[in-house]
Amino acid sequence: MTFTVVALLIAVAALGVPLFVVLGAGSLYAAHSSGLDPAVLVAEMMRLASSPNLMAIPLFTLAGVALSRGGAPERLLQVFNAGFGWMPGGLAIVALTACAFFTAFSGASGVTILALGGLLYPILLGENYSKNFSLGLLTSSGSLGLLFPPSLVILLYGIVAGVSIEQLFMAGLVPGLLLLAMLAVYSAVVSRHIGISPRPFSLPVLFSALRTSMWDLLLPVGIVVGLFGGYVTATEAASCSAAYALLLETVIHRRLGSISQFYEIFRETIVLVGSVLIILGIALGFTNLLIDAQIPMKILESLEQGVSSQLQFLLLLNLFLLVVGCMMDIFSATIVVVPLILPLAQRFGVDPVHLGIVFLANLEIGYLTPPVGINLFLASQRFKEPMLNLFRASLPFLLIMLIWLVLVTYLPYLSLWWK
Amino acid sequence: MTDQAELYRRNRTWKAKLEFYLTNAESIVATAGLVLLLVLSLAEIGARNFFHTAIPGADILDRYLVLWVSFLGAVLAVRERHIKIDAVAVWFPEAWRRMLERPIYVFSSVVCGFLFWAALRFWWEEWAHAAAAEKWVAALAVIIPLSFFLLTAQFAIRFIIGPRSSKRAL
Repeated sequence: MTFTVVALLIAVAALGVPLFVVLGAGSLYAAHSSGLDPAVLVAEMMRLASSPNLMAIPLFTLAGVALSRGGAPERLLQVFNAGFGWMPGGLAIVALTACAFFTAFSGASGVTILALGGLLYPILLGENYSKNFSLGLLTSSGSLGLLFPPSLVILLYGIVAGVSIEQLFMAGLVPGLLLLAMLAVYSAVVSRHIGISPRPFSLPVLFSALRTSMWDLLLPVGIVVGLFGGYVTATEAASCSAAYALLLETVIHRRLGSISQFYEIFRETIVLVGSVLIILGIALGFTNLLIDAQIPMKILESLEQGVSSQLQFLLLLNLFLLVVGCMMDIFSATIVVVPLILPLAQRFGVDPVHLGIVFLANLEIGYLTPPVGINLFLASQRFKEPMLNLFRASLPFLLIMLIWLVLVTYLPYLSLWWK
Repeated sequence: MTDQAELYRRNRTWKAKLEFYLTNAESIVATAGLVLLLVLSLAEIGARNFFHTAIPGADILDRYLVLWVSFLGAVLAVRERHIKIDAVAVWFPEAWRRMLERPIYVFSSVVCGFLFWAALRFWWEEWAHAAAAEKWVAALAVIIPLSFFLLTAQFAIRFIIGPRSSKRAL
């Protein structure tokens, strides 16, 4: 019976029923079959109100939406272009850094591809980068920066797994930079192969670009210094960022002014946050029922028969998460999958902070893989190209990311050097 | 026909009007909640650092405001976009997907209805047993049953209205 219900739920999910409804139906069935009052689900949902870090999610989202509506993508592009455009593969490196920077703020909701991809694509083609390389670069750049503060998925992982958010941000820095460096080297090699000559460096241009975007660049610097220096908590950093971003776009850049613009920004934030947090609310009840039914314990038992070492476990975890990443978006996967794998990882001695980085690295790759790699969808919408072409164009980048995943998974030192 | 006029024409039916006003009201309350959350959290930082004091009750209010903002956001997302794992449906032709919309809405409405009923009973118990000083916190938690009621209603209205024209943005 349970098997039939699970199969049915998977089927309705695949047909396009919202995920929170699917989880809600599953929880109602699970509560009913274990003879519990469905009110227990609501009791679990109320736990959202006792999570002190949850507040950071709407406020960081607000900051990201305000920046993106206020023209931060264009300004960032200008300054990175002036700063890195002279290197071999310069423009490609500009694209990578600007996208990573922006994704960290916009929280991997796909805004990067829509906002920056559209700007960068014609410029890349204009500099004679091949169509395939440009498309692959922009499609895969859409999820770079997931590991940098103040990335929303890191916040969400911290909340779901009960791990310190400051520690997670610290752990994400080196793996995030490593991926950027690997992709930058690849881009430099390709551009040399195509024969693109680097542009001359101009100090006045850099200064003028810095003057325009100085205030945008100060925000992440402030967050990093504030968080790692222990001056502010994650929630304080979030409310300051939101206020700063709104002030910046209103007073300094004067891109926002009317009440209706503010209303739009707040509304967009609310819908983004609402669509994620309702899944979290329902999943709290759902995973609790799964734990009551000892599902993670049963998985662990069957795992222990075949898996004996941490290495084997991590390998299996990578394969499993790559499949999850192909099917689910990163927010839902974090909410639903983390509570299930956390006890398993602890059993095999994997540090929960390291697990977080491995988890997100896997899902970052999932953004690029069919059938529901969200970057492929967005890029296909934005660049008017079929998804399969984009997938093919992203393959070299995907390969580099897989190598990176192996490094991040099997060298915990990269994430935990500061411990 | 301009967009506004087109919108007006479509909003003439009572169902569309109901959805339009309901959505507006939800969106105004949620926006006010988010503004209050931002202002309150900044005031707290100020109070803590400059006056070495805490605003009484602000911490709890913050946490409930997050719930108000997110649950009303989830209701608004019915009209805009909810996260889906439509791994199969994305490969369907447009016409098939439109055909699927009504059954999806009715299923969602029913599930949300059950959750509403559970949430209402839970909330009522909490409210009835809350100490006098805690009544306001229990009252703030009404957002859970309220938003499941609104979700049930919104999905039901969408079921009645049926698939929207792909040309329509709002």
